Formats: sequence, structure tokens, C-alpha cells
Amino acid sequence: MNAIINSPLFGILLSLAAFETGVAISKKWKYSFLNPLLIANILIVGFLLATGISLESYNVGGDYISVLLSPATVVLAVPLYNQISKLKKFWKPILAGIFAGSITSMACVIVISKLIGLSDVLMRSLLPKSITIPMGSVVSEQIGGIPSVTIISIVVTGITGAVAAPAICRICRIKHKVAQGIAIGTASHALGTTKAMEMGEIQGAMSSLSIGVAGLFTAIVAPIILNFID
Amino acid sequence: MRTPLQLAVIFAICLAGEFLHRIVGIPLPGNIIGMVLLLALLCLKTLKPEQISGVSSFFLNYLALFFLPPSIAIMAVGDDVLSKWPLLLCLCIVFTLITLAVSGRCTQLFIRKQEYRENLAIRAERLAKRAASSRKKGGDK
Repeated sequence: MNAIINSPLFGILLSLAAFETGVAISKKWKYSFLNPLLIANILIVGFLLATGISLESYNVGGDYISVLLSPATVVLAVPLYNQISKLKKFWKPILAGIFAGSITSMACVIVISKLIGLSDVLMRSLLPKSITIPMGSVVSEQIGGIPSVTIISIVVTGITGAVAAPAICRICRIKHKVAQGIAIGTASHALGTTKAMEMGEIQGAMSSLSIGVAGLFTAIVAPIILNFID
Repeated sequence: MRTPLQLAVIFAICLAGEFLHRIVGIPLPGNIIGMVLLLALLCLKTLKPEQISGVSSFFLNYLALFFLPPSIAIMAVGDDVLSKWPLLLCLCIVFTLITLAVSGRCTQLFIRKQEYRENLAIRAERLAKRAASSRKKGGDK
């Protein structure tokens, strides 16, 4: 049995099956909190705990999929390139909004963590929580956080953004379509962008644009801020 | 481009990013440097989006799948993290709402400012034109 569990195909098969189940469930019941990644994560963790199979055995195959995270990030340049003409008209407000949002997100994490005495490693794990997962997980690793905690916090952040975005736009009277898109993309990356796409084409384009910019900005600024507060 | 060649191009860009990070010492994650490299190649028209569309749309369509194995490592985090999960959940939600509001208001503020300035410029132009035409009419009489 061990030979089967420790085959790379086992981890790969488990990942593919759980992922497709997650997608099927989220398609059937269209609630924003039923995120495919979250469902698949719970399914696999539950399966491994129930059967007593170790994380190491899963990772024999899982690592093959993790390797593809790098090319998956690189191709994010394609949607960014497609939006580049839209960036040109409002580039000043867009950059200002993305920078303000990214700084706010990081400042919240640092200030509240210090206030309630959260451990340093948790603070570092939460710091890149507003950016897209391929970027956030490597930034987390680089600044000394725990990538898996970062990934879960990124998913929670994304789901919150997707669920709450229309209400926040109404309450704070954010009416301009470009501003709505930028807010969603900056605060809740690709998961929020799915909601922005529903709200309209301009919101969707602006949201997907800010994923890359906010990610890049956070990747550059997070280590600098941490150096500064140490 | 055939799919294996598209994959080769993307993987080569990934490795170039890792090279710039690890060997040259640029303090950004390798895959993010790779993203900037690809963006540069697209902007310089060295590479057309259609040429890598097969591979890029595959990765973009199933993006979440590639995060799944790293996220399973949540099993291995210590009890100190697990015991704090309700707090962490609340923090994530509240921070997201604040970030949404600040980012949106800030963008809107600057857009309004820009539009106001553009409107002033357009109005000034119109006034100048009207003044010029009325002067012309006056001259005709």
C-alpha cells in the first residue's frame, strides 16, 4: 500500500479530484464563500487526516503541481498587457488608489498585530494577504512568514472582497466604475476580480490590472517596511 | 507556436527570473521578475500574446489548481497558529473591508480631480473659441 501512496501520481490524482469536486460544488451552489480552492483544501486535509496518510506522502505528487506555480505567475503578464491601454488614461488615479490600498492593507496588519501582540511570524504571514496567491506565497517565504498561512489568509481575503465589494461601494459611495474595479482588485486580488467581472466590463478590466500592480508594489515594499520597523 | 515550444518559452522566462533573483541578486521573487520579463517582451512586440495563448490560457483558466498543494501545508502549522484561527479570520475580514474602502475612495478622489481639471480646460478652450469667433463676426460687420 505504501508503494501506491508514495507514488507521485497519488498526490496528483488527489489534487485533481479534489479540485474538480470543488469547482463542481461552487458551480452548483453559487455562493461566493463556496470557493473551489477552499473546498478542495478542506477535502484533502480531511482525507489525509481521516486516512492517516502523511503530508510528506501527499507532497511527493503535490510538489509536481507546486512547481507549475512559477509559470502560472509569469503568464499573469498577459492580462496585464491586454489592459495596458486602459491604464494610460487614468494612470495617476489608478496608481494612487492601488498604492493607498496596498499601504492600508499592510499598515492594518502591522499596527493591529503590534497592538494585540500577535507573533512576529504570523504578522509576516498576514502581510501579503491582499495580493494574488502566486505572488503572496513567495513574498511570504521571502519575508519569513509561513506560506500556507498566507495562502489561507489570501483566500479568506479574496472571498470577503468578492462578497462585500458591492455593499462597500454603496456605503462609501464609490460610484466611478474605474474606482470600483481598482478597489476590488487591490483589496481582494483574482478572487474579488470574479465579482468585479460580474459588476461590469470596466470594473473587471481595472480589477485584473490592479492584481499585478498591487502584487508588484507589495513585493517591493513589504521587505522595506519590515526592515524599517525592525 | 506549438505547445511544447510555448511551454519552453514560459519555462525559460521562469528560469531567467530565478537566475536574476538568485545569481544576480535582485531582491524580488524569481517568478515576479519573470512576470516583468514577459510583460517587457510583450510590450517590445518580441512576443505576441497569440503566440503563447495556448499555454497562458491553460495556466490562467486553472490558476487555483496550482495553489492547492502549497495550501495543504496548513496541516503542518503549529498549534499556536491553529488556536488563533477565529482571531485571524476576523482580522482578515476587517482589514479587507478597510482596504476596499480606502483604495476605492482614493482612486475616485483622484479621478474626480483629474476630470475637474480636464473639464476646466475644455471650458476654457470653448470660451476662447467663442471669444475668437465673436471677434471675427464683429470684424465682418
